[in-house]
Amino acid sequence: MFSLHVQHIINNKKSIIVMILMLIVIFTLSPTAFKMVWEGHEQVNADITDFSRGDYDLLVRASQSEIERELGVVEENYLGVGNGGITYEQWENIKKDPRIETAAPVASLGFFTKIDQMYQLPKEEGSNRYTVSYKTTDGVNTYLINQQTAYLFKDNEVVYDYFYPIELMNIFGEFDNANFEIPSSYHPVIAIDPQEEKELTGIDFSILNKNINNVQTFPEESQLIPLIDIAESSTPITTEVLIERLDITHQEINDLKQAVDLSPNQSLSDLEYYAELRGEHVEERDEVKEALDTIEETDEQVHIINFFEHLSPFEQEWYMIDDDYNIVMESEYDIDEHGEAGRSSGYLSQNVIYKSLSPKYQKTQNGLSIELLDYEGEIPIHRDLEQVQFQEYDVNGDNSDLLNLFQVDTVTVGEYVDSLAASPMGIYHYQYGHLKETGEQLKPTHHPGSFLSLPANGLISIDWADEFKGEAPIDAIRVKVAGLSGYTEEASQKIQHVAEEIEEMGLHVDIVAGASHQNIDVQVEGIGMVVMPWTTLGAAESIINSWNVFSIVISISFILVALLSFVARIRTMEHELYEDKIRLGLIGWKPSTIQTFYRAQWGIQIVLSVVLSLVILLLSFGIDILMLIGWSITIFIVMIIHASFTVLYKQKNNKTHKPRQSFLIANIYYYRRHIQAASLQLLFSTSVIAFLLTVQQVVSNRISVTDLGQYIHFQINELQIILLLSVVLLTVYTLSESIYRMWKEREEQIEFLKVMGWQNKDIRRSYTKETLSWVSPSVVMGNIIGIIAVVVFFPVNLTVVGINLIVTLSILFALTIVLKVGLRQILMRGVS
Amino acid sequence: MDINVMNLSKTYESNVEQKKVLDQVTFKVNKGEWVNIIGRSGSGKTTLLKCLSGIMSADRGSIINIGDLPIHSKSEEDRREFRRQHIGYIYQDYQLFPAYTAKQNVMLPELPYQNESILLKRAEELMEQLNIEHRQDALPNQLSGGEQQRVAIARALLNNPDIFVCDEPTGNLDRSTRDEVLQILKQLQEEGRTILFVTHDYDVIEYGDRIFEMDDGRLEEVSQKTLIIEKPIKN
Repeated sequence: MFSLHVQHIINNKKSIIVMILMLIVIFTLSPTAFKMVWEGHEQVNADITDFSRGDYDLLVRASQSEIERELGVVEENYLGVGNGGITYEQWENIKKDPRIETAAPVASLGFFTKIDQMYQLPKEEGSNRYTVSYKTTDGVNTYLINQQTAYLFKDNEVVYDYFYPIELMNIFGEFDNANFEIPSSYHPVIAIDPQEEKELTGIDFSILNKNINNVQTFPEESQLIPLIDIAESSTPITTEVLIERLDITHQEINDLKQAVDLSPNQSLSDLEYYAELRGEHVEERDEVKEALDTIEETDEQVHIINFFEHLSPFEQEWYMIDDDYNIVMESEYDIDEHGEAGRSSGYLSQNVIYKSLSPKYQKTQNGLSIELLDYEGEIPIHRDLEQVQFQEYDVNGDNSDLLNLFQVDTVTVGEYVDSLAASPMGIYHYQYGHLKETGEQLKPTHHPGSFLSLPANGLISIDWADEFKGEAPIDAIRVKVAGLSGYTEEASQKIQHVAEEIEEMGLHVDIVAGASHQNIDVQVEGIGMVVMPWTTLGAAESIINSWNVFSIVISISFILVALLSFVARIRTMEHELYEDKIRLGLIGWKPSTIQTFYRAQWGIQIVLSVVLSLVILLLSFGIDILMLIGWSITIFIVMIIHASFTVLYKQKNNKTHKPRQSFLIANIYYYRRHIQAASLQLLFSTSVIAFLLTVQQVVSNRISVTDLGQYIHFQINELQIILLLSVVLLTVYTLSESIYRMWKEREEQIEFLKVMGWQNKDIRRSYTKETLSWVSPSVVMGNIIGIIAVVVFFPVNLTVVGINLIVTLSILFALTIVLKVGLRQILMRGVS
Repeated sequence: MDINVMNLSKTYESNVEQKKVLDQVTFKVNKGEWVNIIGRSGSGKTTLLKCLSGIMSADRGSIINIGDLPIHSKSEEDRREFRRQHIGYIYQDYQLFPAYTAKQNVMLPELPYQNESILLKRAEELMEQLNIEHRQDALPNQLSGGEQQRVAIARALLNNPDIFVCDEPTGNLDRSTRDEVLQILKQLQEEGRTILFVTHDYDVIEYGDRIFEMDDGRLEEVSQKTLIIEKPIKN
């Protein structure tokens, strides 16, 4: 009997090898898939635990904006207009809750303008025309803010006259120098609690509690508020200085004065004074201006001065420009070397606060849009500004209530931006967005009307906030729940519970633990399509849910495709053995003996497959308990299926075949048993592939909108691709085998077609047409079923339809290639 | 069409051995002649037919001229084209396609090359000519052996070929059916067609003009008397 078994194996070696290979594929890939899905699940959970809890868990505000409510997101700078709404008492109540580790308040005071300050350019020889241009940028476009032209006339290096615009009155020409004023800029000042903020950020803000007195530049009786400047906050203003040497004599200037009825002792600047302040001599002023503007220069030089790269908006110290046009602090300025310099500053400019309203967001089909409200100069304005004069200096009266900001320190926030962290960075955010088309990074212009929110430029203590904003000055409280080490389900429940209790105080609470940054497309009028980072709430839950759905679907699909392939294979094998079994019966073998013989044959195959698959698993993946469980379950299922199939399998003949008028239908009908099995397999596999690809796409789109999702997607993408490829490969393999077997059965017919004189191309065309006539409907139907399955779980969009169309065409294309190659092989094996 | 064969050899090559199945076969068949080829199993009869009809390529040096056409030097594609137009092939096991009706089987040789309605008309004519018009919509498994062979002959006749190649076409038939089939072929010969007939059956030999015997790859013409008295056919 042993030699008979060996002979049987040798005679059926191809069929047995194919079966063993298939079993090895199933026994290795199934436990691997099982392990990968399991590990993927663990990986997602671990990522969520490790990365999805940001710097704080709850964002407490008086209310949220309408657009946030609509989109389920939080703006990166969540402070809005800064209308407050939370009292000190409410904050204290939250802070003292033992379940809360940190409750860090934030109160936006609004935009303060920079202290007015002038600067002096180095002395130049001869008479010169000075044209100073101030420009700002949003990172992509440059806008002209203001341009001033002034003249300084010299005779033998002695200044004898000036001409300058009225804004430079008492500035230009001081100390016979060309002096200008640093342009206005706007800087958000935020109140924080130093202690709580330190707990949240790790940065020491305790200096904000310091008492400051007797600072020379401020009125003696005024109150000084300590302020910390944030080093990262820079204002994008550049100053371009054009100095043109003019070849003009004292006499020519005097002639010009005479022409406009000025005496030689009067200054040309007087005309500007008369024209702008009194409305007199406007024509003469314009005449002089035109005459001076049209003088050809004999030489020119251009200098760029970037004040705002170096200077703090709250800096009280004066700035000087040395001979090389570098900025030098007053304390470092050498008068002996560079000469006396003019300086002046005015803190009165900080008696006005500007409040910037929210941009007018409109929800569009693909995101949001922001309306352009106006232009200031060339700068597009997307927010309305409110100007609030919160105090006035009384020249003759009591100024003891006056509040003045006084810079005591500069801190670097640095990398206090967790790339995956859920929490909106608010006052510390420095990621503004980028142009979708070009990827160019955007930043706010110097103007508070920019559609991009500015982070804090200066921080003061929350104790001062009520002086500016009344009894409910706090805009937001960032709450960190105590006793949590990661974002687990238990942590999530605890955070939820605390949030509900705070909401009972009449406040709005966003749970930002488990949230993540998300890019939102915003069509900004006058700028273009901008991608802005906002924060999506509940991202972690969404990712876990999506992953769970995908894991279950992909596991079931893989197992079903694998088992279907196995069933197809044993069906083929039983069909091949059917004749042998009949013959053995004819020569007198008992049915039980035949059964025992073939069971032993199956036993040999399964033992070989089990051993080889175990070796492969050990060598390539390193088997562990998870894989061992998956491997054992797979073997058990395969054995059960085989046992059931061999009992239930009955060979059928084609006695029921009926004549058909069409050659094509006649063939399909006659070979329907082969075709039914293959097309059922194709239909199922195609629907599974279409479904999986679509789900993969939808799930990855869904979770990848957030930074956290992108990170996790990157981590598990490889696994998804491996499983999908396995499904595709198994399908292609088993389907190719089914079709090949059917053709093999008709090999004799193909040979006779050659005998009758059919050319190979005609045979190929005929068989391809026949095969595609049942393959195509199976693929199309499979895809439709796949889409219907997708629709049950996910909203259908163009991407889904597109993916399925591509899948359908790809499968058909791949099958056509397989058909052609298979037929070519059969045809080449001809009798010649 | 005359058939002129000179030095026809065919060697089967496998990994382990070379086997010469046809060895320097030389013979001539005149147009309209019926030639029977006899010989024991494995002597090379079927291989000879396949080489003659271009189904199989012969060894280098072999010369097969059918009419003016040197089959031995033609490409596989040309040989198939020639076969389709000039040769009708009939097998012992009929080679009918089980999915198709009798009529569809008859139409099959020209299906990719001619209009289906023309083929249908021609198939009906042929089936009427062979007295099987009443079975034209039957499937092969619904036909008797004789009917199946008539369908096969009708199919071979579709292109009105000059040469009929018959590989033991009566081997599976009873005596009366065999005679009917032979009568049909005789009639085809009388219409001017050449018939190459491989058989083991003495009764068939009576129908032929000449007899050739294959033995170990060699072909030798024998007389009917010699055959019956001196060389009884060995299966």
